[in-house]
Amino acid sequence: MKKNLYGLLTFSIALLFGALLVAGNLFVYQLQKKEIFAEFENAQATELKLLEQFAREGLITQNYALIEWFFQQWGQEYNKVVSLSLHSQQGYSLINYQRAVAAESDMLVSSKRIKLHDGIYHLKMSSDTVGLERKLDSLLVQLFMVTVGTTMLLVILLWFVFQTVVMRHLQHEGKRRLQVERKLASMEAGED
Amino acid sequence: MRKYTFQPFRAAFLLLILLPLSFPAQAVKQALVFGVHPYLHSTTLVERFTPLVKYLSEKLGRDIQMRVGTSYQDHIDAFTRGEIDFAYFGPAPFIKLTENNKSFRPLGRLSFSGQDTFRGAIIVHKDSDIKSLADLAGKSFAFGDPNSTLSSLVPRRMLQDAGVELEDLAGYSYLNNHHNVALAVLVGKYDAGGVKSEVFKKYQARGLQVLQWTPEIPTHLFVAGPGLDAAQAEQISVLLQSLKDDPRAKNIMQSIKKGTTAIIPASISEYEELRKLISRQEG
Repeated sequence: MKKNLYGLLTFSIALLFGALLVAGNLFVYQLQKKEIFAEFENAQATELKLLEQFAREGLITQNYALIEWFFQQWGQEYNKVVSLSLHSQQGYSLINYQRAVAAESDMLVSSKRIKLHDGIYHLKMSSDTVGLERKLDSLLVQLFMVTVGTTMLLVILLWFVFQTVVMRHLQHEGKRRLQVERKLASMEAGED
Repeated sequence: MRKYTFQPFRAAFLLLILLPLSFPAQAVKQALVFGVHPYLHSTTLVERFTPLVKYLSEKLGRDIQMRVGTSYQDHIDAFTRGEIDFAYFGPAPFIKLTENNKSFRPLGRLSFSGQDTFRGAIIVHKDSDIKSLADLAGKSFAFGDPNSTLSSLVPRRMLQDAGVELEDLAGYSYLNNHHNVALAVLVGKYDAGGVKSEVFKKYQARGLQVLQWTPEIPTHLFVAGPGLDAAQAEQISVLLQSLKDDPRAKNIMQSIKKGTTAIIPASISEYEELRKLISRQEG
């Protein structure tokens, strides 16, 4: 009965410890996910703003070829960029850069309107978030490894503490008890 | 009287200072300057001509610097001032260059599988309701550089022949290069424009159509500058015309212009027909 109680207590402590670890890991993962995505969105917004300024300048000076060349270079240099387009209000395309990606890829799509004296142009950029997913998967693996490592270290540490402090104390107590019992036995034998 | 004593360190020092002065200035090999007119934006031009520059530099044993003009006129002016040793010219800028001075020596011109002429087109958007050059009266038109053969001078002549003067247009602009013209028409900024066939083909699928092709005109050419000595000019001319036999020929020539298979001899007389066409317009 007492043994079962100890077993249940040990299991409960282990369960609580495991639950705390999982909760902690989930918290770190969610926090990192939020931060990574926010950072990605901010970077895309900054890039789009730069592209907008460049396109505005090119459209005003009618240097369309320079915009086309720059956007092509931009798309080719940044692996995350899936599409980059600049359309007139009538839907005529000035630039339409496209990169081949897997159909199931998740995208972050951002757009801006460029208002000029002679019309409005629409700038649109789509980026592949596969890189972020990979980063998060890697984080998950790292958290798992750290958790397993920490747990193992904790178990070894507990075992060592148990061995060196508790068991040694018990062994010492046992030895003393045996000595006392032997003494008592010899005293009883002397009286006889 | 002081007695002269030989001082080896002082003598070596003097020798070091005086040694360069003993060579004539001509013996110091300066880099040759190769000029290109800005028919595309400069980064693309540098990429396109770098293999040729490397080839010539290696064969001549001299550095060659590339100079891209800020405009066609700037290219012509720098060339006549002697700031450029040899240059790449479009047919019309070459005609302008040789208007009053026919002593400039052509070094060779491009040939495309035996064909040594090329053409351009007046283009409109595929959704346009313009059906003839005469319909362009009251419409807007995009030209390239004012001195460009196929994006300005020949299209202007074609418009005139169709009875459309510049004043009859709703508006017109010079957009510096062929690609700007094609993209301006594509995006609906101008109703029509003049471009060379290479540029039209690049953008055709995106929504351009030909309103009328230009006549065939002689291809772009390389010309020796006024400061380049005859022997050096001959050497460059031979190197250009024998380029087709070099193992790197395909890469070098395709880089300059797709379809180029050789650089053939050129003469001023080959451009006389075009000169007549352009001067008729200016007259």
